Formats: sequence, C-alpha cells, structure tokens
Amino acid sequence: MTKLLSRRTLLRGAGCALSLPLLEAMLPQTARAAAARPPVRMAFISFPNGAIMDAWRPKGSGTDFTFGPTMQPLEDLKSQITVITGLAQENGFAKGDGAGDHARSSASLLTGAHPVKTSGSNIRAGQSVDQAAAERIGHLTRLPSLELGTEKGREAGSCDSGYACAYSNSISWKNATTPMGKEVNPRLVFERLFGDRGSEGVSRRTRIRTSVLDLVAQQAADLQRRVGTSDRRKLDQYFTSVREIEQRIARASQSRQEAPPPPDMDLPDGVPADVQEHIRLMYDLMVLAFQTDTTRIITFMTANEGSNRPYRMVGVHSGHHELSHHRNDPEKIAQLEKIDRYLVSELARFLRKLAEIPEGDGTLLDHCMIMYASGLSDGNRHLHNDLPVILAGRGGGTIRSGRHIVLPAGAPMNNLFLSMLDRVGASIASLGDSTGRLTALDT
Amino acid sequence: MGIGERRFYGSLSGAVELRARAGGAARFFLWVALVVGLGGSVLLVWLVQRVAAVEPNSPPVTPRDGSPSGAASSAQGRSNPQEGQKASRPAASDGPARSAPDRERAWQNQFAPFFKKYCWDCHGAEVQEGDVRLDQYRTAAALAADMATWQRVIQMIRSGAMPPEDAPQPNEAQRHDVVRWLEETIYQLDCSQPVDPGRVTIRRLNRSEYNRTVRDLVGVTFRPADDFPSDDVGGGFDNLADVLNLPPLLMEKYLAAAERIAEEVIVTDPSVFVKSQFRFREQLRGEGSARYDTERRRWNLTGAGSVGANFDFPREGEYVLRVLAAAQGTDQPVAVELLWDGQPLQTLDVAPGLGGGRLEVRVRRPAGQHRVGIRLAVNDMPSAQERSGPAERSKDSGESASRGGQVTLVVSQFEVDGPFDVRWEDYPPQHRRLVAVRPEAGRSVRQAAEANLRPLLLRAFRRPPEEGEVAQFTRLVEQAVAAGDSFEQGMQVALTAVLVSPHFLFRIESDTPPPEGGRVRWLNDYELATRLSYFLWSSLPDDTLFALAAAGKLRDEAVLAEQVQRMLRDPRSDALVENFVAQWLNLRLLENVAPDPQVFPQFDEALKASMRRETELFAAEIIQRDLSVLEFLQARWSFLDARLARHYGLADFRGSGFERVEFTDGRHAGVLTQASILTLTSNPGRTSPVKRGKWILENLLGSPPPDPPPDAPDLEATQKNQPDAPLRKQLEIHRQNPVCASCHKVMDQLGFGLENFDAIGRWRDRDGRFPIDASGELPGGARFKGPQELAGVLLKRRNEFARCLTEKMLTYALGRELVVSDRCVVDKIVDDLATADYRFSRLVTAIVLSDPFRKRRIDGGAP
Repeated sequence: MTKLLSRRTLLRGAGCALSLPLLEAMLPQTARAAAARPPVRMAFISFPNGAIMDAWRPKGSGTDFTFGPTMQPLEDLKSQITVITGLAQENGFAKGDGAGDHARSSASLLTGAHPVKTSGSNIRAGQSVDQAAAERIGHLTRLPSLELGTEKGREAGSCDSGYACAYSNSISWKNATTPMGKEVNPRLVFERLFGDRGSEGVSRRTRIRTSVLDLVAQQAADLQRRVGTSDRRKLDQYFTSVREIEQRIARASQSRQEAPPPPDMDLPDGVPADVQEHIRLMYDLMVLAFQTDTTRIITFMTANEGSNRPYRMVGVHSGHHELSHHRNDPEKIAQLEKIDRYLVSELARFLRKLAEIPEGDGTLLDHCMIMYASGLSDGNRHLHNDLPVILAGRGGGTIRSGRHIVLPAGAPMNNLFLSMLDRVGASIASLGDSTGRLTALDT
Repeated sequence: MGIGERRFYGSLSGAVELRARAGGAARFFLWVALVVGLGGSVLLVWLVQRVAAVEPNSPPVTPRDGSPSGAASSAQGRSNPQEGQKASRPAASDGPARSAPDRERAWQNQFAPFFKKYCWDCHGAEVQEGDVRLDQYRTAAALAADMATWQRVIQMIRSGAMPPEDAPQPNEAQRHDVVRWLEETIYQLDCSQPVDPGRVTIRRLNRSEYNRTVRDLVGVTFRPADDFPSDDVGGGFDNLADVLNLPPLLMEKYLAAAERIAEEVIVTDPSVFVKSQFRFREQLRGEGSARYDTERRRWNLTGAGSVGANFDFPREGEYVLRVLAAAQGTDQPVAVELLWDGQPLQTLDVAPGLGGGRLEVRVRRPAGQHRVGIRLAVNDMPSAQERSGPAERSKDSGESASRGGQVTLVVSQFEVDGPFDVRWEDYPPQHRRLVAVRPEAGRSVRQAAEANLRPLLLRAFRRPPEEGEVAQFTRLVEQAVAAGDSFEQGMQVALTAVLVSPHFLFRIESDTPPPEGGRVRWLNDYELATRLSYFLWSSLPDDTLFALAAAGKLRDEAVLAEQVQRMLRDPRSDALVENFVAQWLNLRLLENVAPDPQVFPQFDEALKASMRRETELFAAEIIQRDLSVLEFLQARWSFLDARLARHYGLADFRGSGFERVEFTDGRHAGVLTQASILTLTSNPGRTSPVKRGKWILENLLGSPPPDPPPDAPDLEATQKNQPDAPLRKQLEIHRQNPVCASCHKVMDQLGFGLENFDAIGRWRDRDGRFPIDASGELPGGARFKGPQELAGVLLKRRNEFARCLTEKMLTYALGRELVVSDRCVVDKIVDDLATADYRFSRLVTAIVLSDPFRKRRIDGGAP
C-alpha cells in the first residue's frame, strides 16, 4: 500500500482554524480520476426551536439583497449562499393532533410527512430526502450516508406531548418506520469514516464477516416466516441493515481502489463537554467525509429538536427552548437572536473550510449543497411555514447562488428536495407532500 | 383513581378547543390538548393490533380528528373496545365483577345525580360551556356510546381542573368513584371475564441489556454498548419492544462489538496471558548495606546484604526472573548472585557503568510466595550493625555509596514473568467455558465445535437450540479451519455469529398456537425464565433459572414467587435501580441538568454524582430489604456522603463514603426531598413549583396534567409586572389568568410544599427577601404545610401512588405500553399490594404472576 501523505489537522479548541490543504496525492484515486468533474455532495443541517425571523430575513430579493443581523456571519460567503424564503412543511402542523409541534417539526423537516402521534407503539413518519438519495447513490461511496448530532436521545420521561422521542431525536428516516439513529461521539464518527482499513487482516475479516452475515441473514429470513406482523417489521429492519453491510463489504472487495489513509485528527475520547468544541468537531468531520469522498450525504442535528441547552459562549444562560417561547419579550428575543447568530457563525466556519479546499476547477463548496434549516419558523407560536432555510454551495454549478429567492407562501419544502435530488443523480418523481420541482433554484 | 390516560392508552391524536367556564360569568377558551385524542388513541392501539393481524402490508391506521367537536373520533371510538374485547376472551382471569346492569344501577342512583349537581349548571340545557353538554345521557350505555366526550370529562375531573374553583366541589372519594365508574363504563371493562394478556413484539436488547447480557454470557469486562446509539424512549422507558429500532448504524456496531468480544474472550495466542509482575523502587526491600537513594529513587548496595522483593508464583512452572541493575565505581563487570528465598540461585555479571542492564534467568520454580533478591557475589562478612535489621532509607546514602572508589550495585526493578508452560487452567474461565473441547485424535473439528456451541446457544438464545441450528454454527468453524484458521479462531467466528444472530439480539416468543387451540397461550418455561431475568436483572437467565426451565417447574406459581425473592436479593437486581427506578423517577435526566453557575457556584459534577447515588442507594435499600414502596414517599432516612450531608446542612455526619442516615429534622420525606429530584425539577436559576408539581402528578400520582397551550403566558411576563412579589405570589397572579388556572391550581400547590428546598435541593427558610410559605391546598380541601405534610397528603392517596407505580413497572416488565384491558390486571395488583403492606417484592411477584406476564395472545402473526 502506498504510504500517502498525512496531515496534521488541528481541530480542537476555539478559533483554531482547520486548514486542509488538499494535495493531489492525498486524494483517493477515484476522486483523482474524476477530478475533472467532482461529485455533488449534500448535507442537511437542522437547528432547533425556530428562529427570530425578523432578524433572519434578508432585505431585498434576487441578487439584490442584504443579510439581516442573524446571517451577518455569512457576509464573506454571500456569493455561495442562496436564501430561500417561503418554504413550508405543512405536515408539521397539528392537523388535529394537538400539542407536540417540536416533535412534528423535526419529524417532518426532511420527510414532508405527518408523523403519527404515538408514544411508542407505531412510530411512523416518512422516508427523508437524504435516505432517498442514499438509496440511489449511496453505493458509490464507502458509507451510503452519515447521520450526526450533538445530543443523544432523552433517556427517561417523555419528549414532546405524547410523541415518542424518536421524532425529536431524528431528522433522517431510512423509511417511514425506521429513524436512522445518529452518532454524537466525534471519535466514533472518525472511526466509522476511517477505521477498518489498511490492516493486514482485511481479507480474513471480509471472509469472516461475509460468512457470519450470510448465516444471520438466513436466520432472519427463516424467522420472518414464523412471527407476527409487528415482529416482521423489526426483522425487516434487521434484514435491511445486514444487507447494507453485506453490500458495503462486497463493494469494498470488488473495487480496486485503495481507501484513503486516515487523516490525522485530535479527538477527545468521549463526547466533548463543551458545546462549541462539539459542534466544531462534527463540522470538521463533515469536511473530512466530503473531502475524502467517504460519503456524499450527511445529516447533522446541531441539537435535538426542543433542545433546552444554554449557549453560554455567547452569554445565553437560559435554556434555548424555554427562551423560544418568548411572548414577544424583547430581552428574550435578543437572547434568541444571539443563539441564532451563533449557530449561523458555526455554519459559516464550516462553509469557509469547504471553500478553502480546492477541488476540480473550483472548491469543495462549489460541489456541495448544504441546506441549513429549522422545522419551525416562529418558535413562540410553533409555525411550520415560512421556514428559515439557507442553501449553501453551487451544487456543482447547477445552482445560481448569491440570491434571495422569495417563494409564494406555503411552497412545499419537499419541492426543494426533489430539485436537490436531481442534482446528485438521485431523481425521483415525488417525496412526501411534494408537488413538483423548485424551478426557481435553476440557473 | 388517577390513571394517566396518556400513558395508559397511547397518546392523543386530537386537540379540541373547548369553551369552559371559570370565575363566575367569565368565558374563556380552555385548550385541552390531551383529551379528545384519547378516543383515537385507544382506537389506534387496537387497530394496530387488529390491522396487523389481518392485513400484513397495510400501514397502521391513523385516526385523525380534525373536527373541533371531536365527533369523528367519538364515532370511531365507539366500536373498537368491543372489537378488542372479542379478540381477548380466551384467557382465564378473575377480577372484581362489574356487570352492565350494575353499571346502569350505579348511573341512576349515584352518578347521574353527581353530574346534575356538579356539571349541569354550565354543561346543561341552558348553557353549554365549551360546547359540552352533559345532561342528555339517559343511560350508562348512551354515555358509553360517546367515548370522546366522556374521556374529556374524566381528564378534567381527575386532574382537578373541573369543576372550576368557584363552583361546588366534590370530595376526593367522589372524584375517585366517578372517574372509576366512568372508565369502566366507557371502556366496557368487565374484569370478571378473561382478560386479553396482550402481545409483545420481539424485543431487541437495549444498551443496558446488551452490556449485562454479554457480561453474564461470556464474561466480557468492558461495556461494548456504551458506544451504541442511544435507545429511543417510549412511554417513559427505553425497553419497549415497539420503540426499539435497528438502523444500519446499530447493526454495524453490533458486528464490531461481536468481533471485539470474540477476540477478548477466546484466546488464540496463549502468550498473551502470561502474567508479568513488577516491583519498583520503593516497593523493593533492602538488607545489610542496602540503602535507598530517595532522590534518584534507586537502591545502592555496597557490601553485604541484598535487595529484593516478594513475588507470587501461582503454581509450579517455568518463570523468567529479571532484575534491572548497574555497577558503579568500577570498570569491570561485577559478579552478582540472584537469590531465591535468600539462597543463591545463579551467578551473573553486571556490566559496569551507569547504563547497567537487565539480568535475566529462565528457571522452573515451585508455587508459593517467594522472595527474589540480588546481592554482590563477593562480599565480606557483614557487620553486626548492618545485619541487625532492614536498611534505613537515607538521603545521602547515594553519595556515601560512591565514596572511596567502592563498587556499588545499583538496583531499581524486579520482574517475574510466567508461568510460561501454559496449561489449561491458566486460560481465563470464559475461554475454558467457550472452548471446553478441542479437536484431537478421534474427535473432529465439527464434533468439538458442536460440543462447545450447544451449551453456548442454549444460553445465548435463552432456549434449547433447534434442530439443525447448532450445525449452522459449527459449519462456520469448519469453514474457518478449512481456510487456515486455528480451531480457536474458528470458535471466534462462531461466537461472532451468535452475537449478531437475530436469536440473540432479539428476545423472540413464538406464535405457535397451543395444542388445545385458542388465541392465547401460556409462555413456555424458557420464555418465562427470560422475561423474568430481563425484568429483574436486565440480563439472561442464570443456571438456576435454566435448570428450572428445563425441568418444567416455572409454571408452578410457588416456584416463580420463590425465584422472585431469590433474584431480588441477587446483586444483579441493581438493574432494577439502573433501568427501572432511574427512568421512573426521571433520574437519568439529571445528567443534562445545568444549574446556573452564577446563582449556584457550589454546584459541580461531583455533587451531581452524589445526588444521583443517593437516590440509587435509597431505591436499592427498598428493593434489597423488601421495604414498603410507600417509603418512596415517606422515608425519614436516606444515604448520604460527606458532601451531601453538608449540602443538607447535617453538621454531625462523620461517615466515609455513603452511609444510611436517619433524619430527625422534620424536613425529609422519601424521594420528594432528595436533592436529585429537587434539582431535576428546577429551572437553572430558581425553583419551579410548577415542574415539581407536574413531576409529582406524572410520576407519583399517575395523572399527568394536559399540555399547556403553545402561547400560554409564562411566569416571566407576570414577574415583569410584579417584580416585587415573591415567587409564590407571582404564581398566584399567573393563575388568575383563567387559561392557566384549572391545571396550575393543582400543580403549583403540590410544588409549594417543597419550596423550602432551593433549586439544588438545599433547605432554606427565605427566598431572597421573602420568607418561604410552603403551604398548599388541593381541590377537595386537603391542606398541608411543608414537605412532610405534603408527603402525608400523598400517603392518603396511596392507592393512586400504588397504581401509578404498578402501571410504570408493568410497562417496564412487559416492554409494551399498557392498553385498556390491562386495567383489570392493574386493579388486581394494586388491591393485592395493599393487603401486603405494600412490600416491594409483593408488587414484583404480583406482576410476575399476572396474565400479561405469563401469557401471550398469538393472533398477531399467523396469516
């Protein structure tokens, strides 16, 4: 195995810029071969509890617009940003289901589906856009998709007004009944991305894994015939998950490509206690995942929906969710604006890193579509329309960025998703409550 | 009666805007977020089961109640309980008989007059507050036909939200009776008939269960599941079969964990467990001229005497003895003798110079404690003084040692490795259990593998392996060996497969119909042993349970009851604290609590850990000593360490670690006054009587209040207008808003009783400038002042508490949410508990002996 260059990337701590000069030698061979036309990657980043829309909304529209205070941190990236106003996830609204808008907002955000109100027995939302993409293009990379977060699930009590916690803890749904689960420990993310490679025993392990998975898949299939419907649903999940790993192994052993060497990265052992460090590590891992083309599809929950964490790094000591019910109290609104702006500033830091990495005839960011959004606009009143949505990157030159697109009220968010799926080569006819493509996105 | 419908029946699926009345003529909109959906939820639970049985491919039906009046769900709700009942006849069970004629009689004589007296003024012919009219139901049957309306009524009466404060109030007993009667009527429960035991979906091991199961199965010493994604919580617990999903990420983790476990517990290279023992520097002992140089941390030997250390030689065998030594004051190699219990064992040379070297001999040695030492080979007779005792340690001995060109032997470390001739008994016990048989002449790989795998599969799958099942795994061993692996490596492959098999990761109960027919069957002994062990230990059955299962004895109720006692006394029952109690009391949420450091600088992680430990030890005491579950409410004792004792202001605590403490200061009452609970129900900067009251309603009384409307004004708005009022007063002002009043009058009052404890659980008599007023009064007139009187009020409602705890524990034990038909079972357990002084083990035993725990409905599967 060729010993490739390794980078020392200093990723820990505040203000420590990650610079990842991408030398050609560090690229995986596929990326090199395809350097003429790098693949389009997509990420979906959610933030909880909505935003103060007055501070969020840009002034002006089209190419002639100025950022509001919340988006100021993106000023230097303006040419890469598309702000979209007017999108809605109608299925986040109660529709007779009563309280629980936080759970519904995360469950509907990437699915456009109305989640079934249940505290457990029959969780159901819909397939999310990232998983629709993974189903079609996931086989092209080592990991079909990556699901990240910073908060693990709540471990007791109830999450939101009779909704199972899965709704608030997940934005990625493999199918209507299987939330993907997410990784919150940066070290474990790194191991998923870059572990399992280069060691002597790979072929033996492949042989063993193949025979083990063959057997247990057969056992699951035998069981399927003997159990009830709800049991079968669980075994389906088992079966699908086993198959996915089998396919990954098969792909890895077929392809002659060498896996890229694990980059050098300082990572804490456990989950970082410091929120800022945690968020930054996750973003840095996303950069690495895209840069090495280990996956092209990532979802990231900067916090679980309804999260009540304080943001002490910007002087906010009350809980985010408690504050979000601000009742138009100017002091609370000011605090919330601080949180909104802080989270946007971390997004900007991430985007800048993508923009610093040359790829093909542009930068990595040119070949990305990074959606940043919340499933609520007004967190005080729990509105699911007029959602705060940013799309960053040029989608491989298919998006004319540097614009503020103002849509008629109620435009389905899922129309945007269909248009994004087109751009990664995962076109589908419809998703959730989509009614068509978002043509305004086209160049 | 106080049953939390939300938990009991699934959750709501509808909201209604209901105009109600409070404060004389004032009209307002009261959002009842919880109530109307109940019809739909009950329907939902039934439908999922029914639809699942009939139409495997159809999606679960979601009732939607879009109409403000709730008419749609009431129409749907009507037919379903009956339908459910039909499906649930066959099992035998008894319970209090309440027949339909009984219910009609009660309606005419008791409850129709009740509603007339307390409700009709505002919900009658002339006025229909909230569009609710209750005067047109002539019979109990008519009432049962309008489930949605009456579910709302139940919720309002139970929570105390209705009748409004200024209207005549029924007393507690009346509320209790009317709620109970209404529930029986609208759900048409007839506990005299056989009750549906329910059906549990196959249950994936959750993280705690995985860790404990692999620990008990193969003896791993690490906790692989700590790296798994967190398990989703439903109905308050993370062990509900329907809620536990298995996304690809988790499968990936299962596979990696299985490989790691197989590598750890099956030894392929025996040299890895050759033990090394080291003795360094201060751990060595010198005699005679030996002096310890404390600065350079080494021993100097200038003449007679020796340096050495004691080692443990576990058995007769081949060992390597090593010494790190150097010779100073000479340019020649220096001869030294390695000593065995003071006797020369071998003579060796130490190279001159500071670098020194490692002296090493490989010898057979006998077992036991032996002293390995070193001395200079040529030595004069030691002086009497030098012989007289252990060498003293002196700081200047280093200098004196090198004085006068004298040869100094410098020694810093001894090491003993071995025994090297590895024998069977040297292998770790888990290896010996898993690879008890090896292939040899006359025994093939297949035969050896089968001999090892058969007992493993029994325990891993928690049942005897089926025909052909063992062969599936032995084939893996054979394939591996054929591909060049050793037998041990082949066994690692088989173990890996066992640990990712669906039969291991899921607890599967078969849907085979009983020979006598019917749609309900008794669990077999192995299934029962498994339910029992996961309920009480969160792990697989032990050898005793397996033996009882094999002998078919677990169907004997006496045997079951006896096993419950044994298992609760077993240390593994700590799982009940870690998994049941910690979730029931929301203790796990403490982890995420972050009091404002500016207000509570003394709060830190160590204090938080002590708080959690207190509650864990408290619960463990109740379990281990089989105390009354009422101790959770009333105990005047707890477990404290020095930090918590200071925190609680107990000056005379003298313990080390945690110790049981009896409180005499009149301030403490069970978990209510434990810092853990008080902290996790507070806001970062101040107490929250509302959250504390809500916690009591949800977790101790089982009647969670409805969700607040999203745009309810919050306390801070009040605070702004009345900045000079104490918190209590501000809450009172807040409650003057009728939107809030109906629920808050219960929540806040309960919370006030704990106001003497600040937001991190310390006692206080004042809150800032204001003296604490810890008095409260509940609808129905119960008054109290301070924590112990509050506990007294709750103790009077012990039936509600027992019911709440029973529901929570039954949910946890079954791994499914409770449904309507479980109510009969809960009734029976609660009654039983009351006859046994509320002893903890009685509750557990009653659950274990209940139908839902020992039987299952089998209509969920077969087409």
